[in-house]
Amino acid sequence: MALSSASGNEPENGHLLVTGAAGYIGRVLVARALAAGWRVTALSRTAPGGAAGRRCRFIPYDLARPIDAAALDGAGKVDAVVHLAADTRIDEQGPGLSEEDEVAAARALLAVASAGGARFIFVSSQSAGAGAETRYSRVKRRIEEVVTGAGGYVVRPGMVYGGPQAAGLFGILCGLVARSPVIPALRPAPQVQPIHVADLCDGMLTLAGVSAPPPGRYDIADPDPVPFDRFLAAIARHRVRRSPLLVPVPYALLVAAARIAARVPFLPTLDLGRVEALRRLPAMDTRPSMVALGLIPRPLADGMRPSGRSRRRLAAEGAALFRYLGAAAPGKGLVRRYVRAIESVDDGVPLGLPAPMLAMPALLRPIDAFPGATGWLRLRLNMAATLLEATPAGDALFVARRPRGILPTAIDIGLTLVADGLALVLSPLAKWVWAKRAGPDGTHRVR
Amino acid sequence: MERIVCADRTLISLPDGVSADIVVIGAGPAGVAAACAGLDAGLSVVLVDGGGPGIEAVPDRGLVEVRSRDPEQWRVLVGTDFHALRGDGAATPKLRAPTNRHVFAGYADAYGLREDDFLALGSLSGGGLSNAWGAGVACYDADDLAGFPVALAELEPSFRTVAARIGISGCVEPDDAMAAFFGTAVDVQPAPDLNENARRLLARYGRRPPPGLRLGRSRNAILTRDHAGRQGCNRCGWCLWGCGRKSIYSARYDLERLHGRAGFRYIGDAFIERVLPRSEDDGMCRAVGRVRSTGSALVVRGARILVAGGAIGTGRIVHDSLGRRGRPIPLLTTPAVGFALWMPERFGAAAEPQPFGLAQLSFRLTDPERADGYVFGNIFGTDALPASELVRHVPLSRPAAIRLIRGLMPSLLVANLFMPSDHGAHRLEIRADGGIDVVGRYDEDGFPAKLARVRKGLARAFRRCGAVMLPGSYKPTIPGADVHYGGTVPMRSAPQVGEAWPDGRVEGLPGVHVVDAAAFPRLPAKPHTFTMMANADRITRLVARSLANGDASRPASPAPIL
Repeated sequence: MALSSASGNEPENGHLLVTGAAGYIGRVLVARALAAGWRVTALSRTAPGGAAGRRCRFIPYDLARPIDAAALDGAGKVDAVVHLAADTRIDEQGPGLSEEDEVAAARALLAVASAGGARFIFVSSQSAGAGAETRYSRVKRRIEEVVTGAGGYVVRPGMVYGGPQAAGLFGILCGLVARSPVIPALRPAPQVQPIHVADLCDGMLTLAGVSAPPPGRYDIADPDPVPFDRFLAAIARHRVRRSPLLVPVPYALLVAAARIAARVPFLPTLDLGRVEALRRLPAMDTRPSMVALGLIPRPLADGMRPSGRSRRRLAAEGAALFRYLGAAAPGKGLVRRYVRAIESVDDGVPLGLPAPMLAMPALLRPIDAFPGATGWLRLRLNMAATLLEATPAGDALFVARRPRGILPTAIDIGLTLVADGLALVLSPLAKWVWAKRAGPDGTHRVR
Repeated sequence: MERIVCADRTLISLPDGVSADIVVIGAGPAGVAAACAGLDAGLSVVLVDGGGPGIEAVPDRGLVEVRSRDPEQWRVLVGTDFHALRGDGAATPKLRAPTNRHVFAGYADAYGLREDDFLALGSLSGGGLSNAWGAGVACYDADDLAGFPVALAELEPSFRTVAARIGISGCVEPDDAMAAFFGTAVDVQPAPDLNENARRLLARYGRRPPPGLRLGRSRNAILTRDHAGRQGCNRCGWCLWGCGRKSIYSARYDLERLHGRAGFRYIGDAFIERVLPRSEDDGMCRAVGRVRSTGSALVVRGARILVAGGAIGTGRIVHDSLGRRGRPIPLLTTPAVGFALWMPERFGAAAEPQPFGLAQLSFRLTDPERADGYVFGNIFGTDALPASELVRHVPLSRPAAIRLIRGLMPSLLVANLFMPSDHGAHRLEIRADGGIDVVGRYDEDGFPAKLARVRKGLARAFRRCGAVMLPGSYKPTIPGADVHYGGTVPMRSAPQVGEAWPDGRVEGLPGVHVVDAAAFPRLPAKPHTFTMMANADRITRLVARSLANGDASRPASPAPIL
């Protein structure tokens, strides 16, 4: 049930070559590959920094100069190549590579990999599935064809986000949200399929590893799309900790504004290219790939944090469940055990209990009392009960160590049955609230 | 190096084999009984086994003290790897006890097991499943042996030998209604004290026994007095997690004692895949497998091979050696049911201060439809179980379930019950890749009716003893959850290929005998483990006699132990 399939890799995994190793995804990939026991050679214009950077071999690499085998002399046998390096401009403006240059660079790299018997993994883009609106997506699609033809792997990530350092498109969005007083919520809302950068990298490492599924295209993203403004709101709330105003903006109005801006002198021009690209993103059915790679996307609220994981939210959930079960003041050790247990036995993902339930755990009862209702909650409650019982306070709660007499025992049982009866009456309402927990902070689960 | 053509005609090279008079495959209760009997008869014995670790240590202090005072109790009760939280749906609390985690580990992978509506448990540990058994002991009687090509008189000396070795406690007084059922021919130590609920239930039964029900003290392989380097029970309550005093018998304890004996050699860390019948050249049989940790080939030679890998493992070894992949092999179990009994007169009392996890009382209920048919069950206190094991079954909200169980538990008893194997149509099949498919199926016609009939009969009988069967608590388990497996190489008086002769000899595999419950042609409702040990003892004596009678196959001098 591990979130990361990379953890399944043996140490001494083999030799991985990463282009674009100093980029947003590249840095995370290098760090996770090293942690999973890979030997890593980084190919990029600048050496990847940080602790991970020091632990890998660096070979200067530029897409403008197609690689030849001699450049890798002395690097040793390569088991897999992940090709991340790309010119990220969406059109031909400004200085940069031509479309042909970039495809040629990929071909050269593929040739080197094939000659050495290494697996080739090309990181494409969700936009490559669209009808070639931009230079970027056109290049991606052309390279995809080359790689697929050579029996390599193609990865199409969704909206990549998260990680300790916000960079790439995610970095730009974080910067915007951090400064802007409002978040424009386009209507109709464009949909994005987020994927945490670490989850994406773990998926790629699975493709590079010994237990990889067969070659082909792998779409790595949350199967359930999120409106783009909700994604931005999650950045605001959980990453940059602001609460800017969400302002609905009809797309037609934006287009009109752009036209006006283009005609009125001294107004900045409004380039709708990126927005348009976003709007036309084809939805991906990522379930087959996610299942094949054993990936479960983490909730946005967790992934947005620099640590990528919210132990605090799991701890709050644990404390609420223990209080719900009857522990007046669950100890820190007990709550810590809950967090560790959910991370090691279950998937480590918080249930996403709504705030009122965290504050007043008795509100869980209408859901819990409903026969056969929410398996997820029941599973966690059973785990919490087992953990709670294995404490002195829990023993007192679960076991009558002293005789209590017939009447007090009968009253105790009677009252709790009455409470369950009341809870059952309220359960339709509670179930509605429960369903709402896939709320604006994106705490939804995929299963 | 030897080169041997296997049943599937592949040619394998083997290191020079170890050899002995008898090679015993499996160090569970049957294998250890065979090894002991062989050594007693002066034979050299090689015991080959998976050799995995057994149960882990439990605290010296009593369960109640640890549970009510020790903040670190979770390390034992839940496990530092949170073992108790895994397997939420596991059929038995034993699978959730962290101290048992090694006992069942690796078995399904080693055998390539795939289960369909069946729970197939097994063990690669020294001591086998007896590391975590319920320790119920009973001698099959003449009726139980119906269908066996073995007479009771042939087993009786072995009953006494095994009982003296493992140590049993219970009651053989004729005023105990179950004494005759368990058998009176063996020596027993005094039974442990009953807890209050069991004491009252038995007293009420004694005043007015309901028709069809026999209720008496359980007979368990637990010491109440020191024996053979093991200590008597001190009511510490850790039974479910493993007995730190070795009061509850495990074949592992006898395995430890065997190590000192002349003529004995133990090969742990082994996995036997097939056996080769007696060869014309040297008169030796061969057990062929591999060393688990290194994967290298292993061959052990013996004038006889006694297979005791558990009914599933033995079935696989024997039938694969006969080249019978892809054929359905019948597999017997004793269908099990769990239920709870509530004693209203004890409502409001406190939990038992000296918990005990093994069965306290046992019962036999005559099946009203068949005068000779019966079901058998055990009654346990709830005090040595985590309350959350009961809470998980209550169909209320969790806080309500906790309060209900806290209120009811001191007046509650839990029980299991077993039915004879006649209702199962389970089968085992060795796949082309050598793995095992196990399919569980109950007989659709008679079984549900019998379940209902038995529930009604039990509820009525226990009500007359002052105990109420809790509504909704009577729950059949999935096939195999009883962990009483048998019948994959059944003994017959005239066996077909893949069946066994009355001395356990497998038809089609000269020199190879089956000594575990695989050899049982039927499983009555009565617990079979003790009779299985006795049968292993009996067969080994026959083998020893045949070897001593100048059986042509025996080497001129006793085979050396290398």
